Amino acid sequence: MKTVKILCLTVVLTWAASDCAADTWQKLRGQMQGIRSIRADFVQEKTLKILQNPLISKGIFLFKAPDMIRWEYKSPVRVVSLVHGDTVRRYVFTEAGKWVPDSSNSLQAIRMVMHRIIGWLTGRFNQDAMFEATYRAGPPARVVLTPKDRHLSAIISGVDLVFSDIPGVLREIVIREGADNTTRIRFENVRLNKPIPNTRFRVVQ
Amino acid sequence: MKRGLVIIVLMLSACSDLPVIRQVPLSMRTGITSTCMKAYPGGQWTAVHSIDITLPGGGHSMMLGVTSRTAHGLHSVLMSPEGMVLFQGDLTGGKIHVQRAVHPMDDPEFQRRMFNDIRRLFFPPGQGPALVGRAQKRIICRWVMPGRVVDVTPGDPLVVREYRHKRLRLVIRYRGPFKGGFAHRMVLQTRGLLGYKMVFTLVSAKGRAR
Repeated sequence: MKTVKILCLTVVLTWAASDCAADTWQKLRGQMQGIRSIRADFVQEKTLKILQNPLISKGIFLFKAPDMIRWEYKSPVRVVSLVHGDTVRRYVFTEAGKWVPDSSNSLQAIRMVMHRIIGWLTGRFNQDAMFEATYRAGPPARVVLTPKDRHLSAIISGVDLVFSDIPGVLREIVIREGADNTTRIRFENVRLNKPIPNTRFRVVQ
Repeated sequence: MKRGLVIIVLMLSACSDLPVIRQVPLSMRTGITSTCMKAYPGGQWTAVHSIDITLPGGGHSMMLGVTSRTAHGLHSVLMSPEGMVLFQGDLTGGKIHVQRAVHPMDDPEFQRRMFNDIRRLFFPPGQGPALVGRAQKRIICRWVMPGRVVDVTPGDPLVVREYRHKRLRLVIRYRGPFKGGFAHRMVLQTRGLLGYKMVFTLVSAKGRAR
C-alpha cells in the first residue's frame, strides 16, 4: 500500500514538473521571440590548464531574426562567420591584409554551431536533437545543455546559457570541453531591436 | 649535340642550393653563434601565437596555438578562433602522447609533422653549429645532420634555411622585436608541391630563462 502511495506521488510530481517545464520553455521562448535584433561586443575567455591566465579574444556579435548572424573576432585573430538563412560563410584576415574565404574543414562544424546559436537565440532550447536542455531559475537564470550523443560529449561536456537581467537576453555562454578546458563568451554593450542592414550578414566588410 | 650536353651538365651542377661557407676565425665563432641562437628561447616557457596558415593550393585557415616547454617535454594545443580545442598533446622522450585530437588532426603523420615544425621553430637543430662563416655575403651558422643541413643567418629577419640533399626545403623568418626571447613574428614556409606557409604572431609569452 505504501509503495503504491509513493508511486502515485512520483507520477503526480513528474507530471507537475513536466507541466512546469513546458510553461518555462514557453515563457522563455516568448521572451526571446520578442527580440528582433541584437548588437553586442563580446569577450571570450579561454581557460586551459596549460595557461596561467585565460586567453582573451574580442569581437562583435550581430543577430537578426529569424536566421542571420555575424560573429566577428577582432583580436587576437580576425575571423568572421556570416550566417544568412542556410548560407554560412567564413572569412579569415590574412597577414597580407586581405579577407579570404576560410579553406579549412571547419565550415561544417561552424554551420552546426551557428544554427544551434540561432535556435538558442529564438528560444528553441528543448527542440535540439543534440542537446538535452535543463532550466535553472538561478539567479542568474540559465539553461544547461548536455550532449545527448556520446560522440559529441567526448568533445563538449556541456554548455551553459546564462541570462542577463533583461528577460530573454543572454549574458554569457559557457562551453565546457572537459576538466580545465572552458570557453566563456561574455556579451557587453548589448543593444536590442535596432535596425541592422542585411548586408552585414552577407558581406565581410 | 655537344652544346646540349654542356647545358645539361651545367644545370645538374647548379642543382645544389647549399652555399659553400668560408669559415671565420675561431675568435669570432662564439659571438656569431650567440646571435644565431637568438631565435630559440631557452628554459621553460609557455607561448600563445595566432597562426595564419596558407595550405597547399593557396587556401587559408586561422588558428590559435599554445606551446609550452616544461622539464618533461613539449606540450601543444591548437584551437579554432572560437576556442574549440582541435589538438592537445605532448612530446616526451621522442614520443607523442595525444590527449585530444579532432579530425584531421587525429592523423599520426600530421601530429609528427606538427611537432617537427614546433621543434624547428623553437629549438636549435643541435648542440652547436659545425661551421660558422660567410657565404653569399651572409653570415651563417651551419648545423650538419645526416641528409640534412640547417643554416641560420642572424639579423632582422633572422633566417633559418633547411636543406635536404643540398636542396632548399624550408625557410623560417623570425622578425623582431624579440620579447622575452620570442620573435614578434615567425614565418615558416616549405618548398615543393605540397608546400605550405604558416605565419605565427606572438600573442603572449610567460616564463623563460636565458
